[in-house]
Amino acid sequence: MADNSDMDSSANFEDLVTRYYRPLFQFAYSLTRNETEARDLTQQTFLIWATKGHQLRNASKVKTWLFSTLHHEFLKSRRRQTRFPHFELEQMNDELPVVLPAVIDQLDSQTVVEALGRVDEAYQATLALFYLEEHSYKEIAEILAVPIGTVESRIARGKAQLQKILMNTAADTKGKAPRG
Amino acid sequence: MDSQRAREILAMYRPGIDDAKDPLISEALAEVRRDPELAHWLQQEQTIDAAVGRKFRQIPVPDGLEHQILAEHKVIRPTIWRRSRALLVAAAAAVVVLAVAGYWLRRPEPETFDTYRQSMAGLVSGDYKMMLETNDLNAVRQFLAAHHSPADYVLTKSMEELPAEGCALVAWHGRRVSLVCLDRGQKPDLFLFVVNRSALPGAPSSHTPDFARIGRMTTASWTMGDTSYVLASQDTEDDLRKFL
Repeated sequence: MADNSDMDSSANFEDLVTRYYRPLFQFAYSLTRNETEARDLTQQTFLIWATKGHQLRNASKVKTWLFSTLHHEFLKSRRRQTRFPHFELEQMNDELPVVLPAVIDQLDSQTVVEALGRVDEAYQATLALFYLEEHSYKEIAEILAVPIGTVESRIARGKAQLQKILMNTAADTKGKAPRG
Repeated sequence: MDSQRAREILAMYRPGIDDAKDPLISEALAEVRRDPELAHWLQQEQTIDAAVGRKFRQIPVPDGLEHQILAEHKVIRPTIWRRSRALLVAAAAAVVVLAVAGYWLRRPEPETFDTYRQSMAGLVSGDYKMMLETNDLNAVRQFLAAHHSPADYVLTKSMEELPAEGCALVAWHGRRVSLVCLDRGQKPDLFLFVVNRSALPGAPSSHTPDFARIGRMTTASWTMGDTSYVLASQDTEDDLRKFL
């Protein structure tokens, strides 16, 4: 199980920052694919914690609260922006494409995060939380305020889309590689 | 449970992260034990998940982010530190950490230039601490630039003649604001807030200063190019004019 009991009542601000700024930034970056925006979201999340964190009654939920707050702030910021053109995927195949782990290992984080950006927007946050492995699927449902069944379908569909994109990306990369 | 349903459930199952004893997962895993094809699929799926997951957990985190977050939450007025020990003790009791400043800044308010100006004046009306304490104006500019805060500001000649007190990074409704504090010795400090004009609805369009009294602070606001400025001080309008 994901350890969520770590920041109990004795938690202080510095401990929280030290423990969670990295995964929070990585979550923010997965959503925005922009370092400045991800930094802002991470800082904003801790600022909100500093002002409203005392309202949280269940201290064991600090981590979930932080991720949930960051996601909420991300959605707020997105509502202020004009939606950017979105890559349309073909109809999802019933069968998941097979991506060799060795192929994924050859890609860098940036490429994988960019691939996530081409997945249907509704699945992106769920997938990022799934792959960051900071939370159980039940906690992911809590963070995103959706039923577990929704998390389940978003992960299944999102993974299928992501794997297909990664497969195409890897094929493109290979095609562009200089021939010796 | 059939094999297809088990796949849907197990697609979200990560050993060691999700609870294998959860009835939903446990039932699907039982199906895996009965179905070799499903078992093969699960093994393949989890290997791919692990490879993709590694990439997400390798996303580089900027150097200094932790320090920056912590620095934004330490707030005490430096001019108070410089005064007597008695004042220091009193100040310590009255320290308002950024939590309070943050509350002040985060309360619901329209995102207009007027509320921005009030927020900034309010911020320096109370106690605070510069994130960087230095007399060097160049160091101030470098610090702000390094932290992606507005740093291409233009100081008037009379401001440039003052030593710096320090600077701070301020977030206002997601906008980055630079605060430059200038030291006037025995006289009240000058606080210059710098923000990108386009980020601020209703920001002044003119370089002619607009004066406003906010609480005990006098403020002057103007725009030059893409940058909007608010200069604040616990001083009179006439005194402030000397720096514009």
